[in-house]
Amino acid sequence: MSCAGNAIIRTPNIDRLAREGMTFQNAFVVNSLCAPSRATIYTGMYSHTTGVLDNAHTTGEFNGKGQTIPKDIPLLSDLLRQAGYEVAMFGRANINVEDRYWDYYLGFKGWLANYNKSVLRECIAGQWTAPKVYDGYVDDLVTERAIAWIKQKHEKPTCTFVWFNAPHAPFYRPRRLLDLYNGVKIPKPATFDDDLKNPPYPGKPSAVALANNKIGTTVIGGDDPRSLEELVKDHYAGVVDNDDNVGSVVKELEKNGSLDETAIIFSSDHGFFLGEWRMYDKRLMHEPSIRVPLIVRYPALVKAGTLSGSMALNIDFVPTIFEIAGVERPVTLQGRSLVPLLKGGTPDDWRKDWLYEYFEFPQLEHVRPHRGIRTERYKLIHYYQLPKYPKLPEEFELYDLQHDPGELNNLYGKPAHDALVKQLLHRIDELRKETHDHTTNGMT
Amino acid sequence: MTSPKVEVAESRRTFLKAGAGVLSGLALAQPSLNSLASSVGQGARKPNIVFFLSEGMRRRDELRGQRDYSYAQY
Repeated sequence: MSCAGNAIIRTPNIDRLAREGMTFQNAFVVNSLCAPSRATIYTGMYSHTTGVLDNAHTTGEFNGKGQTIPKDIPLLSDLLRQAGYEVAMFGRANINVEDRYWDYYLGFKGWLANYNKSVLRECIAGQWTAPKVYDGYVDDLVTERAIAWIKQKHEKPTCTFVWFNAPHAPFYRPRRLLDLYNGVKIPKPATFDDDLKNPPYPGKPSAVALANNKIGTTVIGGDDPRSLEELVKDHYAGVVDNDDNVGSVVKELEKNGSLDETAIIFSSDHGFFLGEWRMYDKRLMHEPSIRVPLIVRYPALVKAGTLSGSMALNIDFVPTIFEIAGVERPVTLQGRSLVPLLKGGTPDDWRKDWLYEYFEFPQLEHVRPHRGIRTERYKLIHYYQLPKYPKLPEEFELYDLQHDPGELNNLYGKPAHDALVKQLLHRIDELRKETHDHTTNGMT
Repeated sequence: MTSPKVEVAESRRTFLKAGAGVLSGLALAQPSLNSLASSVGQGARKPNIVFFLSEGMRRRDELRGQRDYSYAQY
């Protein structure tokens, strides 16, 4: 986003939300993978609670059935409906939520290999139709339908989910953006060539070095970028398309006079590596992967142009929306409402640390399962041993983010930090207990 | 270090059932759900909500201006 300091990309519409709302400078996801993160966003619960631990079974590549959240876990949309809202989903539902009631739905499970001939399913007031092929860039198409939905007369308040497919692999651009960034120089991250050093990936464990998500050498079929320049430009074009579509919706809200009575939330299901350690994709617990944009515009609650540096998580989205909507909070939610922060304060007991988890393995990317803790200053990543793969060693990364925000200097194993490691490992155990994590290193 | 207090339960299912007042018997696919609506927010028009979610957009400012993070150029 240009409002976040990117000198190449221009995102005027997202910038406007930031200018007129609150930007969270330290927003993170607790599992940086599409399906688990979205399950968390639907429910306000950790992956180990939703049971959606990984992306497996979300796409036709696996079995086409779609990952499903157990029915005894209500979704954000279910409880909003219960509280008197009309709910509509447009775009990448990702998880199979077609077993739930939607006042309107035009979307898809899993991910799209073909952005321009998308297979979408429609639901009108709980009545589902057969999937159909739609021509046109999918995010533009569903945004048009979202605007049509917003234009309709609604007797009840509405919650409209506009969930984009871009800039996800395979990184197709809309036709109008094919020439964007021609001739633009793309900076290379300082760690891009760390694999060429002696030893390769200095300080990094084999779990990073051997992860199969490297620009230019990974071949997993369909979504492997050949060069940094190709990846970054295509990724940025997807972000620009997001921005255009945000602008179209905001323009419609402004036109119909409801903009200031609408709570607008903008975020992402995860971050993305764009060449750090030559990686693309996400999954790992490093900052480019776990950090997400989070902006809330709602003038009734939020002062324009404000910032919050408190750590916000994707488990917080549901309790935040519930509080804004006046919906009673189920006791099972594992996050906290951001409303006190949106009002400009920070509760004394606001979190100082949080638990990260990643489970999918081996899949194609070969990113080893890990847990970690991120405090305001430190990060410890624990690649634990897997009973099924005894030759993979237990490994750790420890960073002092205050002095090393680029996570260049792995402090794990240095005697001066032994006590800190012990303390952080103990805190991981505490956080797992507090969030009822009964997963084993066998993963379920 | 602090974090929200949540009660300890023996299993994920037990944990979910701890919220039984909200969760158990919830007819998620049925259109007539009014129990919670009657208990909160009476009288005031609730705000509309628009929730945009990007697929993999990251923040770019997290490291801006910090030392030890430099970009080499081609």
